[in-house]
Order: sequence, then structure tokens, then C-alpha cells
Amino acid sequence: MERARARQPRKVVAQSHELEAHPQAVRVTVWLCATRPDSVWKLSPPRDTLGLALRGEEGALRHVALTVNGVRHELELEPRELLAYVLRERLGLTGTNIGCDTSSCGACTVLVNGESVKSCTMLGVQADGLEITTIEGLARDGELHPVQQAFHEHHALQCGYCTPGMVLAAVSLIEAGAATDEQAIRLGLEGNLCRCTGYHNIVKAVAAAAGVS
Amino acid sequence: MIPAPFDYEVAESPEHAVGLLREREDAKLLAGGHSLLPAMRLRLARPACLIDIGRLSDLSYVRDVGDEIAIGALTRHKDVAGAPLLQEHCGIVAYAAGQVGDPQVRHRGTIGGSLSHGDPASDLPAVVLALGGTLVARGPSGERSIAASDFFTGVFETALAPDEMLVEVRVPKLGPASGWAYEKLSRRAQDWATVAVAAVVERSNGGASKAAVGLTNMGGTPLRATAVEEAIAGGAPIAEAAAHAAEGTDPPSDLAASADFRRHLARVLTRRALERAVAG
Repeated sequence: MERARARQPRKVVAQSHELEAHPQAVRVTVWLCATRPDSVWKLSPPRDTLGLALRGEEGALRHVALTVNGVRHELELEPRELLAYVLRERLGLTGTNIGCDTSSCGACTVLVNGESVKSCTMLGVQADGLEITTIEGLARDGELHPVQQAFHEHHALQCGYCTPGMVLAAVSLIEAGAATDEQAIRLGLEGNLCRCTGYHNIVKAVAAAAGVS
Repeated sequence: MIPAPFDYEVAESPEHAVGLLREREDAKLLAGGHSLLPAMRLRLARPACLIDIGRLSDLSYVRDVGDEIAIGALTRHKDVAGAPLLQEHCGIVAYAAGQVGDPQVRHRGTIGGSLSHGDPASDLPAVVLALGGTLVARGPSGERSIAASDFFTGVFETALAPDEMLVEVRVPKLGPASGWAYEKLSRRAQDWATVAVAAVVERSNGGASKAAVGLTNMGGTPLRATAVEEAIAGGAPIAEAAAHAAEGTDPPSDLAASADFRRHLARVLTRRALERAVAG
């Protein structure tokens, strides 16, 4: 078994059509982007790492204008590019984390016209003309947003992976006037998963930011 | 996970969308995308063309039309849940829309998308079925009305023709003697219903004289629990009527529950839903 495996030629980077065929390849590509950016740059221009590395054939590009954190961006997007990837790969806004990548965990939550949305389940082209706020856009003049400040004060994070999505979901909940008590906050955050601290301090932080006890 | 490539068209009107559906091969309508995009990302769906109807804001409304409330197909779950007209006249629709997914899903997902997706585990199909609602579809030759009881034809299948688009949902205004409840059980927050039950009753003398019961995730389509409805109409007490809830169902067995457990849940949740509906 070991010998048979040893005879296989080792490939560091799969061909693009192979990546297309294997969902697992996405993880490989993400890992390569993180640890071996050089190997990915060779496959594609720097601004388009994940997108082009996975592309076997391209759809027609569409011109899209997005306002992200108050800055207008004009982009040529392939229709299948998801907003989460547009923000991360095209605009370099890597504060938007991709967790489950299946619209369950909420790590990729951003605000679209002020409302929380899972950016892994929205196409970049669907956001044409809309206003997006990512975690990078919350702090003003070096001052944390009140929800960020409350997360800091209540130790509402441990590893921090869920935090950008959690904070933006909370901002949306508070803005909607729906963070009325602890139960409402817990329900209102049901689209965001945290796998390390548990939720108690997160709920405390959101309650504090919302001004409810 | 990135969807397979597709062409993308933005519809400027319902007529335009229907025209594109006719013209383009293997095209799908994209509203909020919260059922379609996950399926495309998993490559369970590979449409050649997406027709984005998400910008047809004229189809986002909740209106009083006499004995009924008309809901535009592109009304988001969030807006259905918060619509005062529905809360006043047909609260079960607003309540059930507020039970779909999580806030992020409700900010994008639409009632029309949810119904046309035809997922038997979705919340709104069983509710619209129990209410005896009507679905209005637009095709190349105009509009037609489809009774909810004729609309859901199979798992992810509806009576919509390939070149038709759902444009409106109509639900009745419930009278002062009516009561309703939607009882949903799911294993995790934000999950689809393992089983859910929609009950709409006519209350009389502390009980129910008439009931309409819709079942979520008890078969390939949302179902009416007709045996329960007949028992209530025949004067049976709620606990006795609810024992018939699993009759005529064909629930799936999956990671969330076995078919047997689902039958049990249908009976228990039907009893709870009827009791809550009667309590008003």
C-alpha cells in the first residue's frame, strides 16, 4: 500500500479541471493560498487567486458597481463569483471569514444595505448597486463600533473566527430594534455559530451594546 | 465551493423574466437565492442560465384585496413576518415566515422562492396549503391561479410550467372566531423542520368545530392531515383527532429522524398546534 502510494507522482498543484471536479480541492486551494501563495500566483493573476484557479471555463464577465465601506468599486465579475469571495479575493477585505461555506455558520455575514446577509450565499452580481459593510468598515476614526467595544469588554470571543460575522449580525439585530432581551438576542443570533467560547459572553456583549439587561 | 459557470440575465419586469425563461435553455429564476445558490454550489443544480428577478421590487408587497391578503412573490420573509396586514388578518403566515432559517436567510429569501422551490421541509408551503391559499403564476399567455392543493406535486416539484413564474400568493383573511398555530420541531437552531404542523381552526365552545391542518416534512409534498380534519368536523376532541395525524403520510427517514419518529412527532405536534390554535 505504502509502496503503491510512493510510486504515484506527487503533484503540488492540481490542474484547473481537476480542481473543478473535486469539492475537496477548494480546501486545498484555500490552504495553498494561505501557505504557499507563490504556487497559486503561478496559476492566475494575483488579484484573482481562488476564482481563476478553480475556473475551467469562464462565463461572460459583468460590470458591477459596489459600495463597500463607503468606497465605490467598479468590478468585472464572473456571475458565479460569490460575494464573500469578491470581498476577500478581489477587494482584499479578508475580515469576512468563510467558515462552513454552506450558509450555515454565519462567519461570512456582512451588511447589505444595513441588513445582515451571509455573503457566501449571494452572488457578487446580485450586489450590483448595493451598499456593503464589512467588519473593516465598522470602526470610525480609530474608535471601535459600540458592538465591537462591547465584545472587547465582555470577552465575547476566543479564537475570533466567528467574530466578524457575529458582530455584524448583532449590529443588524440592534439596528432592527430586535435585540429587546436576552432571549431575543439568542434567537436573533441563531444564524451564527461559535465553536469555542459558547454564547454567554457574546449575548452579554450584544445586550450591553443594545442597552438591555 | 463555487457554482459551475452560468449565464446571468437581469429581468426588468415579470414579462421580461417569462420571455427569458422561454428563450433561454435550462434557465432558472433567481430571487433571494437561498435555496438555489446552495444547491448550485454543491453542484446539485447546474442551470445554464440564471434569470435574476431579485430586482423586481414591484413584486414585493402585502395588500388588502377584500376577503384575501395578496403577497407579492418577491416579498422577503423578513417583510412577510413584519407585515401588519398579515399580523392582523392572517397571523400564521407572518409567524411562519419568521420561523424560516435565521435572520440572514430572512433578509434575502422570498415567499415566492420558498413556495416555488417545492421543498416539503420548508415552512411556508404547509401553511399556505392549510389556509387553502391561491398561487398566481404568470406565463407567456398571461396569469392563472393555482390552488395550493394543486401546486405542490413532488419533492422540489410544483405545478409551475417551465416558462411560468410565481407572481403572487393569496391567503384568506381569518375571521374573529379563527385561531391558528404553527408548531415546528427542529434539531438545531436555524434548521429545517424535522416535522412541523400548521393548524387553522374555527373555535366554538372552548373547542374546535372545524380545522385545517398542514404537515411539513411528512412526505414528498406538504400534506393536509385530512383524517384529523374529518375527526374534528365529526366532533372528536383534539387529543383523539390528533392521533390520526400520521395517516396517509409517507415521511422520510434521514439523519434528523426516522420515519416512525416523524409519525410520532406529527401526532404530538398536531395535538399541540390544535390546542394552541383553540386557545387563540
